[in-house]
Amino acid sequence: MRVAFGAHVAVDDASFDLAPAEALGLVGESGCGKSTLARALLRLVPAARGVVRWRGRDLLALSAAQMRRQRRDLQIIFQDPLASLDPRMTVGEILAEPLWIFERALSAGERAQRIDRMLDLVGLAPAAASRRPREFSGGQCQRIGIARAMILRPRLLICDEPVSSLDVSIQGQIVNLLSDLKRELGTAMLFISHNLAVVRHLSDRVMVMYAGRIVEVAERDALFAAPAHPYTRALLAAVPELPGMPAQAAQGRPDAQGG
Amino acid sequence: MSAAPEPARPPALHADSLQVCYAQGAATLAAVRDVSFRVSEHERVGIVGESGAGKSQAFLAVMGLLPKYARISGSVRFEGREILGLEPRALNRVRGSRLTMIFQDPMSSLTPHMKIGAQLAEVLVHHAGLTWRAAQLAALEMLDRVRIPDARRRLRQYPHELSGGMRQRVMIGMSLLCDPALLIADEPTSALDVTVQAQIIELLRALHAQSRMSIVLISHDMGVVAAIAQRILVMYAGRIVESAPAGKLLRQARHPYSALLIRCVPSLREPRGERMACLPGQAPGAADLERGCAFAPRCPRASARCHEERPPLRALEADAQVACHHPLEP
Repeated sequence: MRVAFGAHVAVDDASFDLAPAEALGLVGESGCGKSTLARALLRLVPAARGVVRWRGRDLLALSAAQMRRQRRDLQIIFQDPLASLDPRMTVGEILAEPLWIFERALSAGERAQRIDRMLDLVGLAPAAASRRPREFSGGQCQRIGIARAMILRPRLLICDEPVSSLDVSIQGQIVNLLSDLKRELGTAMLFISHNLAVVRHLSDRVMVMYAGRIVEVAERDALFAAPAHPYTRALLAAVPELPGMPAQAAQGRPDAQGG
Repeated sequence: MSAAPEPARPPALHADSLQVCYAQGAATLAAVRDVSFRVSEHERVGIVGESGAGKSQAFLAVMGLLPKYARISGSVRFEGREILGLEPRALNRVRGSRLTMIFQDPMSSLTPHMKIGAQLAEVLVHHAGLTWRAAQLAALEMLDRVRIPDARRRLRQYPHELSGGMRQRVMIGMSLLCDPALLIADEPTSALDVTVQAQIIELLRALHAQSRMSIVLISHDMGVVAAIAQRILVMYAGRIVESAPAGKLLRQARHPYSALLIRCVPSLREPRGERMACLPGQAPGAADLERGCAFAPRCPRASARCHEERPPLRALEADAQVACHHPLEP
């Protein structure tokens, strides 16, 4: 996939590639244009200029109908888990909606099976299907959002600050879930965050944005070990560390669950 | 109280068996269960725990900001004087001047249609009886103090013209105008980027050093609390489960929950494992009944006893308490 556009000041001349089943982290402070970039890829906001090459076609040049057909492979989850879900629908109805739109031929039984399987994949009980979003916690709502995005097995999932609204103790649950889904379903992911420490766990490569421009792209380990751009170095320095903490392993504390 | 001599100055805040409950039909939900603590003069105390632990509820009760139908019991003494149930006029003299609170979302605390300068000046006119002119000057000084560049221009701006970090600085400034004895900061950085978080915490530290006030900082993020607290209280399901000096807690937490919260702070230092550290499941809500230790379902060390019998908060050392049947050993 190849993206090249110089839009309005929000995103200026951004170009990058994303390989199939690759996880690309996109990091930068609020206002740097990362969310705008992600939305422009999916034509949720208009790009002034550029090309988004996806499976041999330019997404920005498609008609509305053609673009709609592509959307089954291009999904997104957002920062505010509850706000992304229709409060009047049950979880089952929320998960069924994409199937109604893109896989109309499914029988009721097949649909129910897909929903059950998806709930299981994201770690929710089958009983969740009959409840409404407000009955769930922030972390659980994010799982519902992920289930809705992944039920069609999209080739690309964009995650726009998916854990920033969650308690730090729960953030790992969602990051690990995304990591598992990427491995099991082979989905490419664009993971957007203002916190490098979170991006570190999921990404194969990391892209840093500043004031609408991409200032550095590197393999994950290389970026963390030897950041090239001064802004990347500043972002790394800004990650708060617990003062004077010895290496975790030496303390014999109980291991945090990887759950 | 006991026969021990009272300290020369009362603590800034002394809560005793604070309880906050809500009726829901026939049931009672307990948001805060039997919480007791002290905040000394000029002390920085951190309150940490996941969402729903009752941290905000406890301090909203202190501030008298809970709805009328909240059932509050226990005692809260501010500078030696009981404030729970204080009649509104007396409470309003204290609140906003000597006892202040800032919240996670400054946008909801700032009036959107009033300029920053006017909002700040209003506090001084109301509480300190300043003239409008004098109040505006003091407001300008305060914006400088909270390190807002180009303060004169900012005074004339509206809240929406400022970034999230700037708005939080304005809120901090507003809370300091009347030289408070205690500032309560409830998740002041949770809505901000990590880069800005560090600046705000550093600002709070500096302001604290320049004054005699105490600070209570509430957060779900142990990393944020660790950056400012001298003493840390860990809350879970409405109760305090551990209390210790910050350095001691961070080096060797005794309660498994505290240790896990420390483990979950995203860090660049630890070797990059496949899994990001986290706690499993989620914290119980106010509605869940208490049988045994509330943390037992998620605790890696839970025994049968933990599920049956709730561990009381007891002193391990002179300055440290823990509520656990099997505390971690140093």
